[in-house]
Amino acid sequence: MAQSRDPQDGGNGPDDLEVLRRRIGEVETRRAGTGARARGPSTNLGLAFRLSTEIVAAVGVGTAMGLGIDWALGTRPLFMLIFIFLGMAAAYVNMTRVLKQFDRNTRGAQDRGQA
Amino acid sequence: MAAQAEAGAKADPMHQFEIVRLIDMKFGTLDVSFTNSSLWMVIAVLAVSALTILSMSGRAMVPGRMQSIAEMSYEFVAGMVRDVTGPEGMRYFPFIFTLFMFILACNLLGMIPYSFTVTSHIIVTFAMAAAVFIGVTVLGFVKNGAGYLRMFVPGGLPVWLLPLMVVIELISYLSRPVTLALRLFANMMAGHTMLKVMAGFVIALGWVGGWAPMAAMVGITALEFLIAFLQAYVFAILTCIYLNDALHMHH
Repeated sequence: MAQSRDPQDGGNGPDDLEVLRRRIGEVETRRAGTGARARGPSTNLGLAFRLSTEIVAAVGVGTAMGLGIDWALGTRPLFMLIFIFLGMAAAYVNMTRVLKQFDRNTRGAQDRGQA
Repeated sequence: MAAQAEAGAKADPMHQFEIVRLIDMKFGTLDVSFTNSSLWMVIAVLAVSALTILSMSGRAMVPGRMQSIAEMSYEFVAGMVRDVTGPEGMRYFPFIFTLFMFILACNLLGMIPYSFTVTSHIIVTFAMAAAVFIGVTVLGFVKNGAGYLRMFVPGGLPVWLLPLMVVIELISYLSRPVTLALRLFANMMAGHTMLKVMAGFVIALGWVGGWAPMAAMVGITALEFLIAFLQAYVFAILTCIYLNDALHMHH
């Protein structure tokens, strides 16, 4: 980048074009999204909060679905109980996904740090 | 001492979340009054518009302060969308950018004393999350047709386990907007309530002991600014992740 500063006036054509071409190339690789960027702030506190909301939301949605089915069929506690457990399972599925993502991101950051 | 404690107890930490009607309006039987919440949403929209339109009107090659902020926020969101969804996701960049800037403006405006934090009401955050959820689901079906239903069928499973997993995946999918809304709302409300409770301690403990909660408040205020940014970021990046799921299905 620094070995040839761009000429002040566009006097020498080929050199100028070369610089321009390289710059366009740089912008284009940036545009394409190499994924080599840091993923922004992801704190441990944020992760903990994400996991806890994941539990609350999945169990809540499960319970609501169960209550909805019960309301339609008139079998009050049956489906609610079943769907609470299904909601818990969904919560674990979601949490696993979040943690896998977090794992991938931190590992990527470490690789980048070593390189 | 007792009088002081009473004064502290009287300060209601939830008072800041009260909705006040500023202009009464009715639409049929629907109450569409202009409230303090609406007012702060309008202020947030005006602030973002002013930042992006006015500061970019100069279009200086060497940006000033305001132009730098506008350009940095553009670059930040554009980079995020590009990283998560790839170049084809850039079509939805205006939506993500609007969402991010609106939430960020609401969160930051809420940090001004005596202001109202729009995002500390779950109905507001849930409305935004529902818009994202419905939009992404419609987009998924438009892009993939009925194939989008494969979202709910994880690969590599024995057949007898499938019905169970489909239901679990369905719950997991439906819980997306709830987590999105809950996280933003809970973070904002918890933080602001904590600030008010701490402030109540300062009054209650008086000149002798009030300095400790006062010092804690300084720290919490700094943390709140971080959270204001972080939650806007999390909301936007999760929207990008859901968008990416709809655009390119991996499951």
